[in-house]
Amino acid sequence: MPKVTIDGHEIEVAPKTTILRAAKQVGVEIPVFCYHPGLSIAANCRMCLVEIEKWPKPQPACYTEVGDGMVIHTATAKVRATQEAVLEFILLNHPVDCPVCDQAGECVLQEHYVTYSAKASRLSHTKTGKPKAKPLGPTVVLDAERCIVCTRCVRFCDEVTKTSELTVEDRGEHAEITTPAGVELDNPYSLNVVDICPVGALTSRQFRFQRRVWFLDMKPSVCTGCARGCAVRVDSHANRVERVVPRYNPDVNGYWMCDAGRQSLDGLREEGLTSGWTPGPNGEARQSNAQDGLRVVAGWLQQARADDTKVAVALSASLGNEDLYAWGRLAKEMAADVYLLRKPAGQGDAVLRRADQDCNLTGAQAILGAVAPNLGDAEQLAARSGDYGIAIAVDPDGAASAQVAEALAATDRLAVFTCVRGPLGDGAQVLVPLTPLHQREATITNADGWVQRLGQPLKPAVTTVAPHVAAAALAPSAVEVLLDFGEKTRPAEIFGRVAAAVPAFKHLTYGELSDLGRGLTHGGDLAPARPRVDGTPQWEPDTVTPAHQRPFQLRRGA
Amino acid sequence: MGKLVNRVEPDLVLQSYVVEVAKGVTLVTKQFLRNLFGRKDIVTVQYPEDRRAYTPRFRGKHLLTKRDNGDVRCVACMLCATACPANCITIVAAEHKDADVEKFPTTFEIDLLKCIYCGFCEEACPCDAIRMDSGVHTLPTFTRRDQKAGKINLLELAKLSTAAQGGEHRAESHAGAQHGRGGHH
Repeated sequence: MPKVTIDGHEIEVAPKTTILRAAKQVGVEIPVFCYHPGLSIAANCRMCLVEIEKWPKPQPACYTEVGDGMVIHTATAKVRATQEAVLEFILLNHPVDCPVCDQAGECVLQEHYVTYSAKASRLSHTKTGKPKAKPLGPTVVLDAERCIVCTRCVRFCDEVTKTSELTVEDRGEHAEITTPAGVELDNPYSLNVVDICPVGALTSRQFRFQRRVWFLDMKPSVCTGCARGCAVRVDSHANRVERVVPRYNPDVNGYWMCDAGRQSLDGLREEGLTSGWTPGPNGEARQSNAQDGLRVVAGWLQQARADDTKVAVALSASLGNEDLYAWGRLAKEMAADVYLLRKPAGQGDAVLRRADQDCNLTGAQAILGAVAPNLGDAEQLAARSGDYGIAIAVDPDGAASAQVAEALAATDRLAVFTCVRGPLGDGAQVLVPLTPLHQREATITNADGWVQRLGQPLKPAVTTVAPHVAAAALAPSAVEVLLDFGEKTRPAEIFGRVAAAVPAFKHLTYGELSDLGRGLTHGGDLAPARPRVDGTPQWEPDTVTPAHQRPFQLRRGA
Repeated sequence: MGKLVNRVEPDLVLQSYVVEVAKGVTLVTKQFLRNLFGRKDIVTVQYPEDRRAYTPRFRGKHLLTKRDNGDVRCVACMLCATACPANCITIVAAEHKDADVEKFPTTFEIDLLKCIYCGFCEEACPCDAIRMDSGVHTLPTFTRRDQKAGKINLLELAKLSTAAQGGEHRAESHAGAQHGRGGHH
């Protein structure tokens, strides 16, 4: 194990560790532009040059591996002078149009300029002009003047998506990121190049000019677009989603997420249902909120207990773990039959996307398998729908197929709990508006059995109800007793019950899930350590702390 | 601790009021004649016919400046909205057809009822687009809605921006930049 000294800190690191990573371990920050932990090392920006004793010239810390006995200095006068020179060259043709640049506020170049240079330009002639607002594809727009040619985006397309749409054309100050003739940057992961661009050169068409980043409310959450469950950060303003970016989670998505996932969360822009309907005195549909709807359904269930009417409960596999537990428990107490509704399969690939579109299928199978053993599927439900006097569908995203919708519409009494209008809801006597997953606390389990918290990035509408709260509210009428979690309907409390009742969840607690989540057990043992998605060991997420989140300091050059 | 007041015990002369009324009438008549025959030391300004001149630094109603071609100068950078302590500025930005301008405001609204006229917005503006040197103060209206000054309203008071347009280097050699923009072959 090589032993190195970095700025006076001695540390023993694994062989082949780069100076940059060793420095990170002792808490020494080395500025970088082109280095990204999820990509290969290019060492072309030269911002990370450090001095090594007995070496003739400064070396790039991101690329140089440590050797035994190395003594490294990252803040000597020579290193500072190098950093200033590098920044002066990078800024030579940079337009410095920060006021109209979307990256301002989270720009690595801004941060490094203020910290390591803060000197005026000495350029006396015209800056090189390059194309501005040049579309590279359906999702990404390039401002070539702002580009510092770090080639992160080129390496992303070469190494992660392996589609190689981007390339560097020309040399020196004319170097420019471009697509070959007839090729567009159009792949399922294209928006990641916007996230990894250290400056404002690559911008997302959807987010471009929408909001300055310091106005955004940034909350950790999880994507519910497919069974992968990528860790994301939801950036919102005034309870409206502005953009969704991936959050580093080595066990789920690494550094990336797909464009479809971002769009699925963009769906949150359009407000979900805030009102439903209940039958009025003459049988007409009357607009009502969640509480009114619950009152009517509770009346039905109370009647059903007296009449011995058969009840079917159809649950979507896109509900949270707590929702499924509460509804499964209620159905079991009522002796109702439980069916699982699933979305049609989408397109999967080897990078991140899963064909399975239900965000919580693994959780649904584990929980309902333990709570409601005779679980049916949508086809069985359609075939047997005639047996039931009352059908209740909890289907937040409208996953139910037209076949199921048609079969259930024939039921005497149909209550649908949902966030969106759809054929199933339109045929219901009672429609109860549900609180969408991202507007409440919940957990979901991805296809690999990784349980994550959704973190409630948005606030709910007061006229809606969370599914687990609805189940708890129906219990006194339906089964004359409270469910096993009683009146403690906070997800953390219900999650405790899930852990107690479902073997696969038994070692988990809500608090421990934290931001990165935990894995399920398989047959009583903890999930074996699976290979990391991007092959890198667990390390820091590649972000610079935004300026507004850290103390302001201006280091003026000597 | 109260304050001791010396009360005058009213005697017969005071109680008759004749002397006191005569004193009052004399004072009013004197003042009336003085005002009638135009003395110059009267402080009242005959508003709205006469108006006092504002100092050059008076912060009046906001205005948006224009470019040389008459377009709005603002590039929707939202630094005014960021600096605003009253949160009274709402801007919606959009892509400009001219790639050199890039960004412009489709909506620019100032809620004059929320505004505290601190001048931080004109201080923060990097391109001299918002100013408060209109010399007009905000007039009363019958509804709150009328106090929301939109882009058109703010441009009614518009002045030409005196700042150099397009930046130092670009302005003098724009042709060169245009040449470079076309490609490099």
